[in-house]
Amino acid sequence: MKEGSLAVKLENLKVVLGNKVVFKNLNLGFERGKLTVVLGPPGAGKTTMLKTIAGFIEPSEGKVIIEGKVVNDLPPSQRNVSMVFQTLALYPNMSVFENIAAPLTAQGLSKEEIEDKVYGIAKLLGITHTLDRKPETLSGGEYQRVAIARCLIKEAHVYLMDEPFINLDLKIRSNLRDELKKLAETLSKTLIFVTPDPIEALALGETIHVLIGGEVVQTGKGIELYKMPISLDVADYVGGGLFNIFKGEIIRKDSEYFFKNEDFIIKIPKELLLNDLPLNSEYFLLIMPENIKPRSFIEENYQHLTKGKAYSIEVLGGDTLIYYELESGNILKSLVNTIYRPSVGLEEELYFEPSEVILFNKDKVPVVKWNKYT
Amino acid sequence: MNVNKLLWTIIAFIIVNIYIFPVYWIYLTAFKDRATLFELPPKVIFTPVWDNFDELVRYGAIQAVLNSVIVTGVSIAISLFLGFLAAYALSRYRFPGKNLILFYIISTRMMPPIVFIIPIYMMFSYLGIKGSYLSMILFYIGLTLPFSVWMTKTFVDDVSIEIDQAAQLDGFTTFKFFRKILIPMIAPGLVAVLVFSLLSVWNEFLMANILSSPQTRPASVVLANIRGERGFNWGRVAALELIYTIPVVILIFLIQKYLVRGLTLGVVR
Repeated sequence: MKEGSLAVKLENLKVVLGNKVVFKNLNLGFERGKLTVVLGPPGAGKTTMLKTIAGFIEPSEGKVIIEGKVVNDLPPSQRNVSMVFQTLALYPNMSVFENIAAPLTAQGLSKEEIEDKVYGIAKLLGITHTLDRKPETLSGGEYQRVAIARCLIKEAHVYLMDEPFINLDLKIRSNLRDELKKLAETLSKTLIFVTPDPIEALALGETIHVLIGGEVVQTGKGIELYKMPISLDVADYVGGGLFNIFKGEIIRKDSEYFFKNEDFIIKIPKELLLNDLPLNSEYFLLIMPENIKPRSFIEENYQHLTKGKAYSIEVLGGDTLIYYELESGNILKSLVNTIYRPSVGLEEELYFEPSEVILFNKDKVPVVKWNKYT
Repeated sequence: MNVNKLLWTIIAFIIVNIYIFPVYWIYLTAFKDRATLFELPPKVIFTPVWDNFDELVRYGAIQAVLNSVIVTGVSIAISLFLGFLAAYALSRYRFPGKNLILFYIISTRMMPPIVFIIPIYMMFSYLGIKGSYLSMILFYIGLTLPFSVWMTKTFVDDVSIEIDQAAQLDGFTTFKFFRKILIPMIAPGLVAVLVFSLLSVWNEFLMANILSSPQTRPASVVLANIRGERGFNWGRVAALELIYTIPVVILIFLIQKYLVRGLTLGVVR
């Protein structure tokens, strides 16, 4: 990333809240005119990061740079940032129109100009019918849109969004996500979107920074994070806890490597490996649920893994997630792209896609190649 | 369902009447002359007379009610305003000794006011303000402020700090934010604070009796003095009581909308 293309830059940031060190040394840049997602579990410091950029939290060390200017000493009102708060923070005593217009009235724009702009953004977000109402009468989705409208109406250097969709039901969420993505593309504004939800982050798809424990552990595009997690922890988090992770050992036979645990022995394709694998050590094998299928759904390339008893079935729209109990008692998750209801207790042979497995060493670092995605 | 509702309505009606009857009887008494007053059985229908009110006017009781309005109005206005500012600071800012300050504020109400009668009397005499409106106003501000700070603080605490932050980003100055957003948001709470403080000042007798002069004497003190020279003049007392309650009744009607919300705020979540 080139220096000049960054709208916001955090340099060696140290932030302490009370006696908790949130960031020890955070360095992060956000590209101008792009939507950037910061993904992290609760407590990772996402909100703290946004509030530090906005100026509500003072860093004890380091610099906050907005459009090339160090803004550490500027109050929030002079940093020219706009924000959607986690609580959304609409003014309950004002109408929707007044809420959206609030950032403009303070700038002293003329009445006509304000009306034009408010109607413009309201139309864009499909909330023109709510303008005369009070926020408390709005539905969850409308409320969220009003908050986004109030954020976007101002010409700001950067727009900060703090988990804005978190309390909505899934359908509205994916709609709004879609709209926001399109909006970001058409408006080409610098947007920083923060979320604890990996699915949301992957769906927004632009550059994603994974923030865990106050540190950026990985940066990538959506699919990269999913297919090429930098550590087992990132994988587990990005996979939403659905990934199959097995602990086992590596054995070597005739210059081939095999992963062995109590349920199965599988060959690790040689072309996947970065180096020789040390033996007598612990390994973790990750297989995504979509790469494990019962016999009737297998595609070419699939190899036999083990057998398991179906014990729980979740139909997710057009897909089905099946939990199999293996002989050792381990659970294995398989995702098939159709509606499939094996009877509970049915024993099935399970197959997997060998080229998609990821092997991690005892330090939870991957030891397989990623190059096919880069 | 309907029977239940009817039953509740009847119970509520009875309770309300038990509370309202004495007030109603005072209002009736105010319009009775001496003879009607002591008639047995008491008369409900009679020709109303204005004698009691005439006497009151001659006695200067109207001025007394005005004094009450002035002293209460000014002290409550200042106490509410200062209370709000202090509550906002205590709710929003982090500074060393905050809890100590909060405790100190409430500790001033841990003794009964009668404990400071002598020091306050001496202090105000020394300052030369004894007998003035100012002396009573100062005392009542001190009396109501701790309560006003603490209660207002709980209402401000309930407002998410992100509202403040949003307003900052939107370019509101602090006072514009108070006026346009925060105060309207906590209005029901402020009304509750207003009513509580108001009642404690409006009804206060002890300090008013000591700190006031004949010119600044509020209604609560005058009420005690007009019982009559020869026997208890019930009519006159009732008439003053009637006038004494009017400002409060008007106020309650004006703020009724907020009052119920304010009083139940923090109770019903």
